[in-house]
Amino acid sequence: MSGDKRGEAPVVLRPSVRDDARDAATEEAVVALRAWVGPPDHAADPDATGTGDGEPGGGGGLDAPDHEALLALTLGEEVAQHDAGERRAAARLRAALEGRSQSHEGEVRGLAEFAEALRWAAAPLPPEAEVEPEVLLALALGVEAEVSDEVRRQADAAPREPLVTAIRSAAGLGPELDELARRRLLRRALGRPASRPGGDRRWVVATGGALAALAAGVALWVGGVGGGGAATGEPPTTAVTRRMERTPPSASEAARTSRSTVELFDPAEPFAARGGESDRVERILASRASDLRRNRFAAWGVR
Amino acid sequence: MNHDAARRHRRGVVLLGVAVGLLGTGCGDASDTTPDGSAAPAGTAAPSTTTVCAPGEVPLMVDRALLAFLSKAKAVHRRADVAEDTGDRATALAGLDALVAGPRPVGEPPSPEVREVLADTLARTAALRSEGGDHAGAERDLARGLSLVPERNLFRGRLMEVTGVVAQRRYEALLAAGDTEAARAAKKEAITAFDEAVAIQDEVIRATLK
Repeated sequence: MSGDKRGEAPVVLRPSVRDDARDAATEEAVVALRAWVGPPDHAADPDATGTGDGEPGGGGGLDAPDHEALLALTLGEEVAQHDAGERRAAARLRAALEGRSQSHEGEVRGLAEFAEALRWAAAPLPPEAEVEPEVLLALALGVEAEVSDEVRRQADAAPREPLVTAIRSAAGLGPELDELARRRLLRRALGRPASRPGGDRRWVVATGGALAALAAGVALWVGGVGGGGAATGEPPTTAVTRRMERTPPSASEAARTSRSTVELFDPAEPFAARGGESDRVERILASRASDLRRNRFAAWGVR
Repeated sequence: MNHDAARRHRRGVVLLGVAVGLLGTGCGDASDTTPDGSAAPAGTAAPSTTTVCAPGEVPLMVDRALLAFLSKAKAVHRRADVAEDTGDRATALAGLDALVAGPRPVGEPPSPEVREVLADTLARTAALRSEGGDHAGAERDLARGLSLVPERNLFRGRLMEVTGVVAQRRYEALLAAGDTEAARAAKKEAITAFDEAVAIQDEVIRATLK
């Protein structure tokens, strides 16, 4: 670690952990891009049906008739057949992702910002880099690290905007996706390996799966900053878990545990002897879905 | 282990980290069980694996297994609504019974959410059975539901109210059959159950005023 070379700071992290986090962020982002664009016919893919609310495949304001072709074109892949409309849509999306189009729909612009964050996270460190990314992350998160003034100056000068965007997205302030859409994207991103038949995939879109991967990377980095798994030689998963255990949660951050649902119902209105079960279950489900979302963010270390 | 294999292994570890972080809990896996704690009957539902925590190991977190169960419960109840609207009591009961007998997040005792949803479901099946004249089946459901929610809360209060309704129907049936003695006993049971339901609701209301 360069931090050690400089005799600085108890900021240590195994390079392999950092690299893995970046690999995962990149790989999952590409898979998530596929998930976000979605297949053209949702009815043909039960996994992609969702609920219709916040359907990612239909949410981007993209008018391409063939989403797979659009995706392939955006990623620079050769496709056997595509028409002019698909090529235009692909060019528009690619421009938005590259930050060259400021006039596009807000959602695509938001994704483009997050894509920039992912590129930042996935990019290899330049050989001449003096500031370790975990140091930058630590400083950006307000974690006290004993670093020299020079390192702090370099950290201050480093581009923070992508990191801020990443953290905002991890905190749920990024591209609008409802809980079910996030869950579906995540399941697909983690559960279905994408075929990657070549092509330049530098430009990636952030969605739920990518967000999860990046957040995991953030958690791993922060775990290392805090002297967790990397310092002790623990596996990364243990480091993440230990971070969860190590950080005393405030009242607002406390993990949501299983508990009675009676708090969700007005005690002055006893349940009717007949009917109302569906509405009650629905209310319980909504409440616990919110809890699960909070727990995820807490697990990612997002406050 | 070659370089690619090592990378794949490391990536797997990272992805596992993602999964751990998302689940928010770190217990092992176990097969599903029924609310009684026994293995789910074969063929009643697709087998699945979910998170299980030994007592005292890790607090029961709100996790994906719980959400999956609640999602399923919602769908089952909605389907039962449709069936009931068309007078198809058998179909409604079949779905609800499958929910009760099917897989659920493991934990002993079950998590409060699971217990309360199952108790509410059993109250519904009891009412349906009673409407169809199966008073004995209704009482079995009620006994099972009451065992799931020993706390004196809204769910137990509802179970007691349904207990009263079932006893009242039995009373009417016995009276029509000319079994006056048994009818009198059923009527007493109904009154006792309704009184208990009212007492529970009073406690719930008083507790909120403290």
